[in-house]
Amino acid sequence: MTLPFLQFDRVSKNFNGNSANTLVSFEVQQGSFHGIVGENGAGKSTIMKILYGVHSPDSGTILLNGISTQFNNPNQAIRAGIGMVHQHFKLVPTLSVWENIILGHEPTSLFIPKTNLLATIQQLQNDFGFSLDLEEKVETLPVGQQQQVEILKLLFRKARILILDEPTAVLTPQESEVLLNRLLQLKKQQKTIILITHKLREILEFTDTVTIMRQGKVVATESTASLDEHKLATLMMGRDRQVPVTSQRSFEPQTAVLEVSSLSTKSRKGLQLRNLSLNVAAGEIVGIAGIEGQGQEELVQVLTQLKSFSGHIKMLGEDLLNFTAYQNRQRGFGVIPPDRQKNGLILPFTNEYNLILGHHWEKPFQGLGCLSFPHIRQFAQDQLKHFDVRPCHPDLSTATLSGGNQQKIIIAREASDRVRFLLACHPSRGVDIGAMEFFHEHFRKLRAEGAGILLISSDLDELRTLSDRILVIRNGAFIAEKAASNWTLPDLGLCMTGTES
Amino acid sequence: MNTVNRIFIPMVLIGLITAGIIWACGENPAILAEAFSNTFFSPFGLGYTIYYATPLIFTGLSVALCFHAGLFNIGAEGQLLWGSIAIVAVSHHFSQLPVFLAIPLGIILAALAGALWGLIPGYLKAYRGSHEVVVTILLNFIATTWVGYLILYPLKNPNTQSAETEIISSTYFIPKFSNAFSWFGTELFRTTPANLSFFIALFCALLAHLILYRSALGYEWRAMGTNFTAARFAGIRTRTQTLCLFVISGAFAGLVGVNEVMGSEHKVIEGFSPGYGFSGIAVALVAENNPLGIIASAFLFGGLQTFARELEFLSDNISKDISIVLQAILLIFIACRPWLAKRLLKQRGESHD
Repeated sequence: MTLPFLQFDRVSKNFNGNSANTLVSFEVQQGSFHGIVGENGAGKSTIMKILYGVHSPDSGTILLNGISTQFNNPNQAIRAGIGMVHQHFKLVPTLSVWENIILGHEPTSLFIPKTNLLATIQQLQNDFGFSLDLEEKVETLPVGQQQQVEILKLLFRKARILILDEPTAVLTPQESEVLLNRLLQLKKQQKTIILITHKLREILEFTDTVTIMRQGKVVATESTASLDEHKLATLMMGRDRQVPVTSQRSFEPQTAVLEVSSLSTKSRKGLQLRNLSLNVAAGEIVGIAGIEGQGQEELVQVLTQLKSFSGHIKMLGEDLLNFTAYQNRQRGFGVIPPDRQKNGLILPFTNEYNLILGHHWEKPFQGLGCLSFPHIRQFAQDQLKHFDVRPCHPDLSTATLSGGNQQKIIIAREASDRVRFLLACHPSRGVDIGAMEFFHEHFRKLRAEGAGILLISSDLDELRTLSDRILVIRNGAFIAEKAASNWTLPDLGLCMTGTES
Repeated sequence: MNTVNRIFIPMVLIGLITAGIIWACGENPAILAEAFSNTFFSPFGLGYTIYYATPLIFTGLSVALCFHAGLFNIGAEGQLLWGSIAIVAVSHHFSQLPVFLAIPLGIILAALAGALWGLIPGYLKAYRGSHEVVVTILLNFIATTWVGYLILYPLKNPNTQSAETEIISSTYFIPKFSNAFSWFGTELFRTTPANLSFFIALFCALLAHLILYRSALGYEWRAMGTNFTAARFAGIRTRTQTLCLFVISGAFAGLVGVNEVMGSEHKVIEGFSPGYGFSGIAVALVAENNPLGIIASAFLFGGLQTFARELEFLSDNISKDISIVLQAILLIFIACRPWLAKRLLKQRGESHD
């Protein structure tokens, strides 16, 4: 190996004060199959989007063939021979395959020389071993073939580097196999492949080199041959942080705050929950571990009554559906939603308005339907102070707060002292260590006071420090359950990624 | 300096464009100045402006309220037709009621009829998932034909050839300004149709303002409109509120009938509304959906209407439909506001260099 083909040199990127990439450095050799692996939010996609010109880096440089390059938009990247297949395809469903392939790259002549183009594309198909019907409409193709159209599109633009962002997430196992073998084929024809994934098996079977990322940083870049599953999983999950498993209490069974039995959901497309059963007792924290998109979202929707289901759910001793979602909140159900900006906050509203959301009909916030501003202000000031929200202004728009402080507003509202069952989804996602520890302390306090907490998180350290029990969810079903102290990190990681169960 | 420029420059431009149109119609642009002074500096012009602004306040509120919750009510036109015809119907059946019963009954029924017509898109949106824009637009056509039938057959005035209903019973009349203040010794806004339902409109705007910004209900609506998913997550019953909003919006639109039927014409003439329901969208847009702002923007649009009337009087070739052209020019300028502001800033920046 000679000069590195593609080199990232101390690239950093911040979004609204949350760092997505910190001093990322690694190299990719020409003609290699390079994997980038890491948990969700590890910064894999961000670093590739920086390369592709979607984001611009705050600092650091990217060297292509030894020359410092920075693209301002994807078009420039494509012209330099870099192509990316996004997780969500960018195809026009009502156009045919060949029209999609030339879209944005059409010849500038008055008429489109269709025969010539078809011949060129067919030549490409032959060279790289594709066999798509070019006249077919894209919407009629199965997902796997649509992905092939995306790849052909890049080859048509003479891409030398192909970046694929979680390409197998949308594919069946058979389609995944086809795709990955096709990528191997492309590698043999001197293309450089960069594969973003969190599936360990794909990395181990197909890549030459792999970069492991965690929390926006590169943990290691190694040749795949030197790694095994166990090693990869520990690198990915972070073995180096020895997490103290503190204040684990042997819990004595108390009254259940949540009883779920044989819960299933139906859906025409997407994931179904399959026969879930789960109990959360008062004074207990139950963790749910899993890769993103294995049914966690659906479970939250069921519990917040946004999705219909079959099976039985009792919350706080009564059937969930005996009350409206609003009434259940009054009865002591709190939810920390998975996406604070989308589900949890009305960003343009002021902090005090956000602090009463979902409790705005309660006394003393309103009387006779009129909002009682002095009471709201008083309450907001107390809460902001107690949860150390900065800046501590009740009438400041929540949109102006940093992510961590926005999360504090949600926790102040949802995990107040009178909450009896708390559903906490990714409570410390994107917040700094200080805030995280504060949240954890708060949750332990709630548990000591007899609240039951269901914790859904992708941060395994968080799960292990807080939970009494951990269940693993995969593909809409619970596949394992153990007391938190009986899980080791690699075990948990392997169980989640489905390489071992 | 900058704010003066931001208002002054567009005003001058609008004036120049209008003058250009007048000139192109073969008239002397100087009549603009006369029409302007007649509109804004005479009791007659002001009276008409009040008369035109009243329905625009109602329809503007109707649109704005829904808009705060992220809903589009394009159906104010149909709702106001029902509100108007309801007054004639109630007067037809209860013509002998004393004034103190007749007037409240007329007002309530106008609101109720509009509310019922709003209930339909509200229900379809909330529980059937139909798109409210499509439904309300289509319901406008149904309302026009249905009310048209009522005007021409059951409630037709037998003594005239024109397409209009019978005159309502005089106990339902809402006094005009000129009569209401006559004991002051002045006939306020003499010979204009301005009437006391203007105060109902002001009251409604105030009420809407209080509901939106001071009540828990308005809080829910604004939450829905700003972040629908978060509102649902917080347990807000978005379906019930959607229904509720369309009913209230419909009621506001229905009240247009009070100004038109009880206040001035005392009958429903087919095609009486020059598109108040649609102008309401523009009124709400200009006021950025603020109920108190709607009063001001309704005056602006009402003034335009009067101005167009004046132009018609003063010229041979211009009809009062010029008001639609003026509205369009105004709206284009308002739509360009961010762009114009940027241009102005840029020019200032360059002059500094």
